This record gives sequence, structure tokens and C-alpha cells, in this order.
Amino acid sequence: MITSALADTDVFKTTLPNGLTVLIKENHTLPIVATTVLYKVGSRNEISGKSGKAHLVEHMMFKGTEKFKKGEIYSSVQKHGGMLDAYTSEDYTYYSLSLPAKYLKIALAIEADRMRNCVFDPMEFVSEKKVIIEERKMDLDSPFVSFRDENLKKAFKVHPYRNSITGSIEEIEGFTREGILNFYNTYYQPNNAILVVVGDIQTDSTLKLIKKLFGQIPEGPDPPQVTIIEPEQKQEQRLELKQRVTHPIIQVLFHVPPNDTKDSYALQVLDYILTGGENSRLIKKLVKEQPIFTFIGSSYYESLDPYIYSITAELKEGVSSQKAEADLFNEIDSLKQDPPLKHEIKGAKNQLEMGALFLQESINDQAELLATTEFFYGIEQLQKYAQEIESITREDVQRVAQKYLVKKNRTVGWLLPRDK
Amino acid sequence: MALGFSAPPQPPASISKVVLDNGLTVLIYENHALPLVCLIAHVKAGSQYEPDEKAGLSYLVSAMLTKGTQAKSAEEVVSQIEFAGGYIISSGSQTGSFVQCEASKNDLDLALEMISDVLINPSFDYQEMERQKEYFLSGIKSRGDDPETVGKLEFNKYVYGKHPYHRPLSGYEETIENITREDLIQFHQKYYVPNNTVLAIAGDIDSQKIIPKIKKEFGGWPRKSVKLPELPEISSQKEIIAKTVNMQGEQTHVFLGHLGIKYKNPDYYTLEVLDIILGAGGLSSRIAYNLRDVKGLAYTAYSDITGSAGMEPGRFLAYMAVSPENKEAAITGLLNELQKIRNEPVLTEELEDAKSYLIGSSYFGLQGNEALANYLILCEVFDLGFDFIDKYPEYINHVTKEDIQRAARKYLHPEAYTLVIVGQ
Repeated sequence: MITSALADTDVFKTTLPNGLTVLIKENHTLPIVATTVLYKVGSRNEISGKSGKAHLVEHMMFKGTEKFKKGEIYSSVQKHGGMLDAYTSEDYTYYSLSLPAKYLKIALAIEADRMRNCVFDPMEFVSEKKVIIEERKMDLDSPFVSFRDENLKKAFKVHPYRNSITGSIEEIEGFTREGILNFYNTYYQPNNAILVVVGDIQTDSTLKLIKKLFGQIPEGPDPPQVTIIEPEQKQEQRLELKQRVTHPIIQVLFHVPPNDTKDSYALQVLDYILTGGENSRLIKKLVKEQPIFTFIGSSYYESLDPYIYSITAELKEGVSSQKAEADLFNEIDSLKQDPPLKHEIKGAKNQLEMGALFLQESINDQAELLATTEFFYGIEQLQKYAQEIESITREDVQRVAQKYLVKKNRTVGWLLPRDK
Repeated sequence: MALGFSAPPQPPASISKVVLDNGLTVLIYENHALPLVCLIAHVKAGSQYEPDEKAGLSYLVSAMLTKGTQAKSAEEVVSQIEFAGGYIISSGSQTGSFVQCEASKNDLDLALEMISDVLINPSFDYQEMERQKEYFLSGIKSRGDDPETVGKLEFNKYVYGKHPYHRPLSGYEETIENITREDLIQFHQKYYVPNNTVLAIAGDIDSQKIIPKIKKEFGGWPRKSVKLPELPEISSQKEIIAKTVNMQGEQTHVFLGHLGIKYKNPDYYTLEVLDIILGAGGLSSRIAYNLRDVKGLAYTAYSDITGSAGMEPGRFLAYMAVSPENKEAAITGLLNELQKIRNEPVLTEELEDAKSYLIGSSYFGLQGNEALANYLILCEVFDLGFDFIDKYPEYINHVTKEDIQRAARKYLHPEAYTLVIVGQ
């Protein structure tokens, strides 16, 4: 039975009149606190040709607000021994501040101010675009990043998931301050955000402070919805890229449903059966028993719209790519022919359960888990998740393999060494 | 406005130490937050003890530990622990080898049995060894693709000279190919003994009840005397060494630095504070702030001297990723920062902020069983006392501006350094 320590302990949830969702959880293990703010905007909300806005806003959120001049957000947190983190994903943008518990007010003051009072200083804007361009160049230096970008463009014809989160150099160069400010004003509103506090604090006094700092921010207009639907892929897509790598790499993308659908729970179990550890199907058969690949991994993660399940593998020296590809798909097909064994299902579920426990060891991880669970499911689903996974049968796994891991639903990319 | 109360970190009463008859040091930290356990065994069997011509040997031995024992095949070793949702890994460093196992608290017996078996009875199966060697060789080849790895290895070559740290952990193509199964067995027999090993356990356990379980799994491991090889002394360079490695890429990678300090250096804590001010304190450090934020020269820029300090001297290393046309300006900027921190005392605000940062953030490093087990090992190996986390604020608070300037003059050398540039 999967247990979620978070689900069992008190998570206080409320919504302020301006629409801000607030989650508070006390954790008195160490005298520290983590605050996170999740804005419901990601690269998914961008128009093709103008990708990279959400990411640029994320950077500008550190470059000065009305109360905190450039550099002061960093220094205010750092000098009190804290840490800052932020990232932009396809679906949301995430900010995290951790501090000794006695400095909670600083974290909340920063988040309250930058929610609506980011300054977007023109000179900072220009300089930060340069920094992001450097970041993009670093990405381009890595063959794996450009490879994945190309694969996504092949797999998605219209949906914004096809675009890189950072944006292309041309797109970034083309952004104006007005355009980015407009994007910020559209999406950075209390009714489009989730605030989470986890740590050595008291719920009542924390809520009081949150109301004081965030309560006065007026509710904003509802942001536009993403209405683009990726049409069903009707045939296999393929691509080949030549880059500076020593061995060929294959990456296969399958279109899959988003989380919180019956099939998605079965796919999570399937994912572990395929590549969850050394005795998983693909690793055992194709890395250890018949050495076709030196490594093989897969990734299936939460998304708002249907995303992709990807399997990536590096070819062993001297193995033909045709044989490797055929063997890989044969192995996947075997799961369609016969359902997985009892111990495979049990092992996958144990791994998912333990994975959930490992995700609760630090207050940052707990805060992130609460924020993303609230975003994708609603916090009430924490216990439902455990039950859903528990209920998956061998036939469910076989069924989703038959339904989604099929030829016409896949995009096959090969990354080849330049000189071969 | 003070919110909540400040609970002290877990008191030392949760920590206990026992040394078995065979010399195995056992460290225990009770943590009942989640139903998990973490076991880490640390053996003084690192790459610094292997000969140059067998570079990669110790790392290979570490990797092979989980690849089969006398009683179990590689597959059996992992299948049980993976089925339970846990994991067992082994790896090595310059100083030591470690095996780490995490599992649900209900699987404590399994975890203990696993760790003792892989540590004491690895089989070094020939085929597994060949497979692992191939994996290493593939990694060695790929090393050449990553500019950061290429740069760091080149840098180490010049800074360490004949000292074992000049060579990479995973060795070279020629040395890996030369390693035999007999080499693995010999190395294991020589260093993997209980009196050369520390076992740390953190998690939802009972300190008393666990001891007989540990004795059951480890008690039969025979003590054996170990002679750890002497390592050569290294001296600081007196001149500038500059090397360029040509590599295609959008960015140029700059590595600048020289020999550093040992952990037990009396100025260690002073240099920790200096590190935060100069280059290791994230984006508000001088190097990052001036070269990235102010001048827009780099996306990444940092420096560090204490991070690599161990029983052997570490290195001072500054790293920047820049556009090729900004290379010279970035290097000049970096050297200016080194000069400045030597020539002028740091500002009071910088000093206080850095101290507050180190002290405040020290708690973040203690979250989770893996962190607690590693904390125990650190305190044991470096003789810090298990209440180190409580004494740490004093060590840091004692540091003055004069200490920092003195240490900067003594340990930072903008006049004699190694510069490696990877790019065009």
C-alpha cells in the first residue's frame, strides 16, 4: 500500500479573496522554512515564433522590484543563509526561497512584491537577454539538447510543446520590453498562482502574515486559455541529426495522455517496468544480456496537455543502428503480447511508493511536491494518487502498451557522430 | 517579527558510535521523520592509492562491488533491493570507496545483508569486469566531448604534477585495458578490511536493537593490518602556465587557478568565508556579480578553494563560460578580482552576509538520511566531533576582515597560476 507522509499530515489549504491558492505545512525537524510560488504559465502558453517569454520573465523576476533593487533579492536571501531557485517548465514557472525559519517574512515579502511589482528596468532587460543568449549557446553546445529540441519539433506539429523553453536566439533577440511586460501582466496575477510554505513555522501566524502581504494585491483578469490541440499523429515520424558525439543515440517519443487519466497511472507503472532499475525489461535485456546499448532511460512526467513519453538509448560500439532499433521495438512489443509478470508489477509499485517517500525528505522537495500536486491535480488528490497506482493491474499495463507504444504514434530520432 | 519557534537541530543523543572487535567503526543517527533507512560504508581505498600505470583501478573495484558476490550474481544483488523499491550503489573518489544502500525501514535486515555481502565478498566476475571496463572506456571516450570535463582534467594535470590527483578517477584507455582480474582482487584484499572502514546508518531505526544485527552481518569480517601508501608532496607553481585545448563550440571555457589547501589548514574557515564573498556564494559573489551581471561577459562564473580541500591539498579553481570574443576581458576581470581581495579588506557588509549565509545554510545540508549518514562520516574522518553542526557557527563568527585579507594574500596567486582555455 502506497503511503504518502504528506497526505497523512496536516496540509492547510485556503484561497484568498484575490484568488491566490495558499498551502501551509508545519515541519519542525530543522529550524528552516521553504516558500514556493508556482505561476500557472509555461512555454505552453507561448505563440510559436515567440517562444522564450516565460523563461525571460523568470530571469527578470530577480532583476528588481519596487521594494527590492537589482541584486537585493539575491542578497536578502543569501545573507540570511538561504537559497533561491527557479525554473520554467512547459506548463508552469516555479520559484523557491529557503531560509532559516526566523526569516520567513523576507521570503514572503519578496514573493509578494515581485508578483505584481517587477520593474523590468530597460537596461537590465537588455543585459538579461544577453545572458539568456549565452545560456542558449551553451545549450547548443550540448548535442543532446539540440537533439531533443529537433525531436520535439518533429513530434508536435502545432502544439507549443514543440518549442524550446529558452527560445531561439532570434526569438530572444526580438523580444521588446513592452511585449515581455505584457506577458508578465497577463500571467503573473494572484488568481494564477499557488503559494506554498513548508517548515518550522506556525500555521496561524503564517497565514496572518500571508494575508497581510498578499491580501492587498487585486485579483487580475483571467489569463487566456491554451486552446491549441495537437492533431493525432497518423504515421511514424523520423529524423536524423549529426553532431559531435562518439556513439549514436536513439530517442523515441510516443504521444501519451496527461496525468490524472486512468491510462496515465498505468503508463507510470509501465515506465518503471521498462527502465526502472537494472532488472527492468529494457535494461536487463538490451544493456546487460544482449549488449546493444550502453545505457537506456525513459521519462514520463506530468503535463497539462498530452505530452510525450520518451525512451533514450546510446548505442554500443560496433552495433548496427537498424538492429538496435529493431531489438528495442521488439522488446517493447513483448509487453503488448504478454502482460508483465506479477513481480514486475509489484516491484514497479514498490519503486513508485519509495520514490514518493524519497521526495519528502527535504522541505524544498515537500513544498515543490505540494505545489505541483495542487497545480496538476488539486491537493485533495494526494491520497487518490496512491490508490490509483495501487489499483493498476497487469492487464492495464498491457493495454496501454498496446494503445500508445505503436509505430504510428512514435517519433524516432537518431543522433549520429559527425564523421560516420 | 519572529514567527514560530526555533527548534534546535536533532540533539547528539540521536547519534551513537560503536567500534566492533574487528575494528569496524559504526556510526548511528536515529531519524524517525519517514519510514526509511540509509546505510553508507566508506573504505579508505581511493584512487590516490593506485599506481599510475593502473589508473582507474580503485574506481573499477568500487564499481564492481555491486556486480556480484560469492553468493549472488550481479542480477541477484540488485533485484532484491530494487524489488523492494530501494537501491544499492557503489562508487569511488580520490580518497575512498563507498557503498550506499537505501530502503524502507521494513527492509533493514535486507539492506544490512546486502551491504556486508558486496563489501566483503565481491566475486569480481570476469565477464562483469569486461563489461564494466567497456563501460569505462565508453565514458573515457565521451569525456572528450564535454568542454568542462576536458578543461578540469587538463587543469589537474598541470596543478598536481606527479601527485595522484593529476589523473582522472576513471583512468585512461591504456591503463584500463591493462587492469586484470587479479589486480582487482589484490586491491580489494589490501584495503577492504573492517579496520579501514566506517559504516554509517541513518533512519528510522533503534540504536540499541540494530547493534546485534550489525554484528551478525559484519562480525565475521577479519581484521587485517593496512599500510596506506605515502603520497608525494606537491609545491605551488612559481610561474604562469597557459594551455589551450581546441574544441568546437559556441562558448569558450576558462579554467584559472592553482594548488589549494588541506581541510585541516587553520585558515579553512576563513577561506570558507572568502569563498562566499569571492566566487562560491552564488550570483551575489564578486566574480559572478561583476562578470555576469554587471559586464554581461559570462553566463556561468564561479571560484572555489575550500570545496576541494581534503586530507590532500585541493585546488583553487575559477571557472567561466564566455563567448570567444569576451575571453580576454573575462580573464582580466577575474585576475582583477583576485588582486582586489588581496589588496583591500572586504566590506563589513560582505563579511557579515557571508558568515550569516554559511551559518544559516548549514542546516539545509542535514535534510534526509543520506545527508545525516554523510555528516557522520565527515565528522568521523576529519575528527570534527558529532556536535560539529553546533560548533560551526563559532568557527565562522571568529573570522575577521584581517584574516580574510591575510589568507587571500597567502593562498590566492594572481601572479602564478594555471590557465586552461577550452574552445576556439
